[in-house]
Amino acid sequence: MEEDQEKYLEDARKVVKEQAYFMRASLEKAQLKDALRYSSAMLSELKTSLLSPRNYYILFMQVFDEMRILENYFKEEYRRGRKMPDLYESVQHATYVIPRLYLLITVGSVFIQTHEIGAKVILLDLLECIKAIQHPLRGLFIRYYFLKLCKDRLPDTGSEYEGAGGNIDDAIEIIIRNLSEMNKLWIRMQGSKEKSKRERERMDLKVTIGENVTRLSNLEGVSLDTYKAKVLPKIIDIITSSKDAISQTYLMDCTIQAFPDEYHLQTLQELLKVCTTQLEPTVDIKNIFINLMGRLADFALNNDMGTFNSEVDIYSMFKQNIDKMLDSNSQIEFKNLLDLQVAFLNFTLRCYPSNSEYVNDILKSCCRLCERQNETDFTEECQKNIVKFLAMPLDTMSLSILTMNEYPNLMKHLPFQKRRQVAIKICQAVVNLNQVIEDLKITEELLKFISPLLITQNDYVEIPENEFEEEQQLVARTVHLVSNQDLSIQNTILQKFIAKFKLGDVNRQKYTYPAAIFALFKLVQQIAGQTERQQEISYKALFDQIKELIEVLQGNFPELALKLYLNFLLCINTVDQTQEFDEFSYDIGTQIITIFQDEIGDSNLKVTLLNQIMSTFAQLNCINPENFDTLAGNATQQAAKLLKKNEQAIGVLNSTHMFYNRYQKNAQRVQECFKKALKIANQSIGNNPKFVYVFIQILNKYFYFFEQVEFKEAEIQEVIKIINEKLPKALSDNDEQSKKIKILWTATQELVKERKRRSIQAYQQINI
Amino acid sequence: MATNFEIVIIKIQTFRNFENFIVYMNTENTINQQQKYKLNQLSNLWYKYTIIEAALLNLVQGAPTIDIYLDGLETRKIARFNDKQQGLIGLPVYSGNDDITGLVDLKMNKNKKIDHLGLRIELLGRIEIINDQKQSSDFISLGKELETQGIIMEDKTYKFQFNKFEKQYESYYGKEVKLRYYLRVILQRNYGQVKKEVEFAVQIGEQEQVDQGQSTLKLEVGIEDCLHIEFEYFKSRYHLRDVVQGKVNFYLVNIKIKNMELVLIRKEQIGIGSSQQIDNETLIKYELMDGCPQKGEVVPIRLFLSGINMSPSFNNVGGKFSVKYILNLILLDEDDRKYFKQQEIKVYRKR
Repeated sequence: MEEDQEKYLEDARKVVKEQAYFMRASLEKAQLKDALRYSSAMLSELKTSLLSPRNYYILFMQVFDEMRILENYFKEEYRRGRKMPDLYESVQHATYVIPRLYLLITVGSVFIQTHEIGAKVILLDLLECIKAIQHPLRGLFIRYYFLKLCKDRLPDTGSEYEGAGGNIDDAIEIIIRNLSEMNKLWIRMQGSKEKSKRERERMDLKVTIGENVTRLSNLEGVSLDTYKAKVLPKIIDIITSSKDAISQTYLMDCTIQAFPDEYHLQTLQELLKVCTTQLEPTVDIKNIFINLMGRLADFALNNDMGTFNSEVDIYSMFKQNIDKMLDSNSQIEFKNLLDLQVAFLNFTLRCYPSNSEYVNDILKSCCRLCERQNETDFTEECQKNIVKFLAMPLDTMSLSILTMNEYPNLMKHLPFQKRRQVAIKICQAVVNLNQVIEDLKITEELLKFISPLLITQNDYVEIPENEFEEEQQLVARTVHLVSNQDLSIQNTILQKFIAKFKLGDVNRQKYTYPAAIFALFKLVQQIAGQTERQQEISYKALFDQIKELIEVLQGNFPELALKLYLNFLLCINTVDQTQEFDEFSYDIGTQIITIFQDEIGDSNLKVTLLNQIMSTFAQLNCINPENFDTLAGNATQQAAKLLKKNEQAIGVLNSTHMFYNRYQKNAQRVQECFKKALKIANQSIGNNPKFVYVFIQILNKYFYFFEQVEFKEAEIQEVIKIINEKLPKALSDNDEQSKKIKILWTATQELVKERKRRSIQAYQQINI
Repeated sequence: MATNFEIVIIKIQTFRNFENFIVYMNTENTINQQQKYKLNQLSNLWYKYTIIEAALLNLVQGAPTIDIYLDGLETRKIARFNDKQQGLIGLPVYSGNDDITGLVDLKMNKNKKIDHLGLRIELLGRIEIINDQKQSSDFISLGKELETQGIIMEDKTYKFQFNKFEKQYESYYGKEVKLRYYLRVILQRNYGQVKKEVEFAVQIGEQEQVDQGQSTLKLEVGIEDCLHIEFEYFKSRYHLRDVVQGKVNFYLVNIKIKNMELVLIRKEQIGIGSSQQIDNETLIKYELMDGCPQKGEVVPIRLFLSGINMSPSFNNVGGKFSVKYILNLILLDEDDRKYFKQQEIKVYRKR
């Protein structure tokens, strides 16, 4: 089939080329009669029914170019004295209608240029004659040819043909008539068989019809008033009188594209009315609206918004018409109506970014629309649209949008997965807006919307781990936006969140609780920072709550709980200067040790956590010395229980910091720790020369405490002696550990050297 | 003979056929270079021929020759006919109250004297049925004696004149029938006659009759559930250079029409009653429409008659023949079935 097409085209092109050659040869010899005969033969190729529209177009263009030569020759003939009326008649003697009319149009075009006859007379006569071509494809092309040739011969305002040749009204009339006829032919192409193939072929030809609209828009005489009064009504007539969706869609689109935005603004009411009430139900009105709204929105943004707002109430017009369409019980599919609503909302958000009333009204319409549908109508695509619909305003408008009544009404039409999507979108919007959440009412609404993320609902569907984590982190980020000048309100808002979090299971709480807890920490610190302490929030209540929350996590996530406790201690420590919560803090400290001892199994983790515990304890001042001593002692004991000897030794060594710091000055316990660490180290050094590393650490720790705590000289010299003995052996290997030792040792030597230079007394005895 | 014009009748004998040419020269200007060249060529041939003819005649009997020259040909219209025997011919046209006048030129051709029984000129109008000469007859026959019985001693020129002779019928050269007018000069002699004939044409113009016959021709035709159209010719009477205009309304189209054409048929009816002979000749086929229209479409009809060689309609000329013109509107469907409807139109000559 395709191959045949190529052959047909090739054959036809060959004939055209051949006949065109003879035609030109005759023209050179000034033999007009022969030239006409050859051009007729050439034009006869356009009688074919074998070619597809695309190929027919190729052939047409080839003929078109040749006809320009003939047209120019006609002009010369006129200058040489040939009577145009005679020529105009004589070409009409041709037997076949296709060549006859192509020739007639060509002569007609020249005839007009002579000014011997009114342009309008010829153009109307040509239009009448062209009716003879009823074959859709051939008809479309001959009319396209007509359009091309009469392009500059129309009695347009300001054109040389205006006046005797007619006026702008005639020019409009001529093109409108051609448009109307072409549209009919185009629709007729559809036929009844091979629907999709025909549709494809029709789409290939649409530009020929569109050319009419382009012509109209290019007419100088089509001012706004003329457009309103004479052009648009006629186009609309053509559009509505056909019952063909493809045609209606294309012509609406074409009209919107071809004419200036200003014109559309001034005729918006009519355009919208047509779209909403007079088009076929299968017409994709959504796209037309999207185009129209897109253009108007661009126009609005590029021009003064003032005029946009005052002159024409665009929003209301769209609103009324869309509502009319929604309520008209028409056969327009729900999906398309929803699409339209989405587009409209998008438009409104662009043009009226601060008008939340408009947004709410659109939401209302959309709700009304959804109410009317059956459950089965909510297809995947519709649901997606509702999701979009709900999420869109958030990107540009403030959170107050959430307080609109219509929001939840729309949500309820969605299944879990989609509600979750909306919830995520809302969360994202809130996070992206980066505005503080300070309003209680908004918080309540927000929590309602994101509850698919917070609570396991009836129609819950399992979500992949990574997605779940992402969504929960998003929720966590939301909590951090809570803020209010009035801390009691801030607290109330937080409590709302927490109350909701409590309803979620522990998998969610893993993410939500830490967020809430940290938010509470922040609150605690903010209260502390206030000059006048607010009495209505007591630390006690907050502390109890925090503890309670951590306890929930403790069972499933001991490590997390442990870390939270550590942070909690630090939090209390910053506000409790008077050891008011001594017992409470001590309890927490005990909890920490218990969790560490009972719940943490991984030895590496233990090392890390113990380090954190000790460093945290080392900062505390909120526990009385006696209790603290017990806690620190427990921690030290934990160090001695670590898996490896070196870990034990360094652990014990590190516990020195708990006993001697900003708040604690217990030199005796420090010395004991050293002894213990040395004992462990001495037990191991025999088996492993690399253990010298621990000794160097110990030596450094001595240096750390050198000026605060008194050590026995011999003890230090003993350590140095062991290091000196073992070091060569330890460094003899060229492995990672040896390197580490070397680096540490070099740094230690440097330190000592430097201290000596500064003549610090204690170091004078150290020789390494 | 007038000096600024001449009629040259050239008979050229070729191997296969005779052709008659009448070349009419008004002024030099009307003849372009090409024609002039052709004319010269033909003249040469003519001279050759006449020389041969003269030699032969002299050899046998030295017969005198007669020529007929018509007056005022420089201003007279020439009508063209396509004659079966003679091919394309152009004849001077007489109409209305026109007289026909001219000269008869008798040449002695070296004869010292001519004994004769009388020299006579006749104006004849004749209907010739080509395949049945018995049916042919003269409807007009006027005669004038130019010379009574006697002896002619020298070349002589006679004036003749038929004043306002009756022009009842138009000249017509059809396929089966001819209506011709001619002048005939006969020199009767004891042993035979010398004869010369010259044809001319009569055309009868008619007033444009505004009040009569300009009703539209309108007809609804169709095949049930298949096709229903109405066609209309805006006029039923047309002059020869007229344009047939009209339109076709498609009310119902349930067949796949490929195209529509208009055919102009000339119908010669010879004789009457059972012996009537009818000949239809297609003068032109003209495509009116390409493709299949939809219900409601109106397609225009426009056919220029000026490009077609035709006569007016004739009705029962001399009881011998009629010529009618028929427009045949034909729809052709995709299976090449024809749907047609014929309509007679009256054609007249505009005065």
